[in-house]
Amino acid sequence: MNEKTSATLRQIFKEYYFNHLNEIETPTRMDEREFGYMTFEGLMVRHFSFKKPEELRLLILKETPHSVYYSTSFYTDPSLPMHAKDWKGSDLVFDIDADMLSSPCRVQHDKWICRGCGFQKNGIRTVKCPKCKGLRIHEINIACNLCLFAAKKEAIKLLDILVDDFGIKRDEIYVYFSGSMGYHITVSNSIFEKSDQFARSEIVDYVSGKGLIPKSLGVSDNSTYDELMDKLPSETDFGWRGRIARHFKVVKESYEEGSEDAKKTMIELYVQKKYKKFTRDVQKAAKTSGANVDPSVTTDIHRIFRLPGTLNGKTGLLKKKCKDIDTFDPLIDAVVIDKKLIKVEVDLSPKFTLLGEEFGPFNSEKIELPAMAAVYLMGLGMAEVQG
Amino acid sequence: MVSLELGVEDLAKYSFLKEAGEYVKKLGWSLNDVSQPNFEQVIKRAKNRVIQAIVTEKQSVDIDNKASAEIELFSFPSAMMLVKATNLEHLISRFSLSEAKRVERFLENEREDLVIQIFRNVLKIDLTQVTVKSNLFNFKIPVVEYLKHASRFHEVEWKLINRIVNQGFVYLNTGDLIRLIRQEIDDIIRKRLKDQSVPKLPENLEKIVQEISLLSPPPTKPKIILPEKYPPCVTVALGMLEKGENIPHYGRFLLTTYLMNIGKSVDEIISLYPRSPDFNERMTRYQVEHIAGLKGGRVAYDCPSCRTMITHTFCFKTEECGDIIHPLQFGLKRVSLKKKVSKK
Repeated sequence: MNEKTSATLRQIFKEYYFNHLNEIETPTRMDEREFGYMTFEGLMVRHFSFKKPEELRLLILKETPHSVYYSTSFYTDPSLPMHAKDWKGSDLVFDIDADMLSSPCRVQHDKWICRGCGFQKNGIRTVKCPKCKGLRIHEINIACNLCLFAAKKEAIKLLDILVDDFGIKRDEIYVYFSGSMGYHITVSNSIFEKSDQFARSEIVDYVSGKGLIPKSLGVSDNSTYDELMDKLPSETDFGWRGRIARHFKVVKESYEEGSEDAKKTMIELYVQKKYKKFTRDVQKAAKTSGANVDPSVTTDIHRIFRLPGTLNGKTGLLKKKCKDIDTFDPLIDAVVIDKKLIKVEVDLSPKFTLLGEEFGPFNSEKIELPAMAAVYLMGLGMAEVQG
Repeated sequence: MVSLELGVEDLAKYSFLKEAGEYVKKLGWSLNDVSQPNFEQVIKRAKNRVIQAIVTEKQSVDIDNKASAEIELFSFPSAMMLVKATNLEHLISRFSLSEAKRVERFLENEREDLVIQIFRNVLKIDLTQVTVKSNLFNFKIPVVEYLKHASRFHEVEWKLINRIVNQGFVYLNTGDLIRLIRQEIDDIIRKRLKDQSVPKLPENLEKIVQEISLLSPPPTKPKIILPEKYPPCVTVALGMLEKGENIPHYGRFLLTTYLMNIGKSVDEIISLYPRSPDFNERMTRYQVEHIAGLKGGRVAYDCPSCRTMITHTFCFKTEECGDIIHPLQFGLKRVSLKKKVSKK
């Protein structure tokens, strides 16, 4: 990003924050949290602490950063270096990123650039630059409606597990569009506040369906029919037992007419496929029924997270609270930059949609675009301001 | 809640309980007074308790009558004192585990109401008895408490996903309560031993301490592990590094901490990174030194366990891994298995 582009982006962001200063959300217990930001020059500035929301908002207006972050953890003194902060607890947070879902559409809209020689191409990233053999490949992911819909489906699965299994009240779970590739889920006033990374790791495995063994469904490598009838779960069972039973019932119903008893379906599967393949099918079912969350985000108790109500410097989209996840449309509801025209020079960009309006694809073009689309491309490093 | 009245036989079995300590105190039993009744037998049993922990890990117990129960009960604080006096960390671990398993065996044949009382007393968890008829469970505890205690267990059955979880509670049976008690007792005894101070012991007891110390093997020296003996996850990470592929954060973390743990230096680790045109040595050095504890918080990071690697989808388990629970066990367990086979 050249200086003129970063100055333009900064100016647009400043205007947005000036008019929407009170929409920047401040987390609970803000005086116990660390804040930080990244400048448009790529510099990370951390270890701030604030007592009042106004202090934070003024800093954002003054510095107009590329991205603003807050710690999901609480500390005795958040302004000290990491090892001296004195950890008191952390929110329970989840990150669902379309990037991790390997949607088939990615090949059409992702792109990569070699940091060494500047060579770039559309499609999934390569390991080594074919031109200079450099390894510093920068990946640019664009989330299309399909990717974001897939991420939303994962978020909905996660919400169900948190409410049904963990007993967390729905109004204590906040879902945000991250402003880029997916969703952030934050649990407030959580009983898991003091949980360490090992406990959080177990929570990740639980919600994402990792590590399920047939024994927990009452199945061993020499189960008899009667044992299976007695021990296999039914659809109404609690937790993963019920979830697996419901999965097999739905699978069966999808290729056979009429409703089928889940237990009988599983027995049929066990008899046909034998224990080893049955185990594989059960684990596949767990993965499908679980929510695909990024493990490193939930287990890291010193993480900083994008601040809700701030702009994502990579896209110009807002990290926005989803009041109703089912009806939330990120490429409409999180578009907050205006439509004032800006002249940009786009090098290589796939097609994308904002506020229902389609843009691109572009290939080395000088063009005038509404600010929302120009910011989107400039943030992703696909365009520069003309001149 | 009404507490059950515990007899001396109960206290002999569950000598870690506060009530057991109070009983010993009330009778004024002390290691320094040889004139006390049954002094010799108590010391003999205390010594045996420690030796059994070292040699077999299994305790043989005689509490048929009040006198033998008292000997068993008094031998617990005495054995604790002997273990502490050796000042050997690995002996403390062995002893606490052996004592915890001893309690586990008693609890397996114990009346349910006493198991519940001990569970509440030891773990201080809100335990609810479930009234719904089920052959799978009869209790429930808050999921956060379950995770606090069970997330350290290595058995896959204890993973939360393999438990019945509903509305914030994990459902358990009596056997599960006993296993949780065992773990907690292990921790309690270990902590008590850590905090305990040792007075000057009489000569005869000093002799026993020396005898016990000699039985305990010295700590093992770190072994030199050749690259072909690295666990598959480390081999995969190294392969990716050589090919210049993008290693996920946890793979990189595993590689660095593993190599650090087997004695590689920061320079040796950095030299593994291929010299591609855009290799940034300064950044790589900073990251490796940070993990080694030479930068930032000055805390060296531990190599992550197999379970952590599974969570972060960087486990490439092969048959050779066997039942290891930590990448650092890879070479070691294989060696011991081979030895067993060759002995046959």
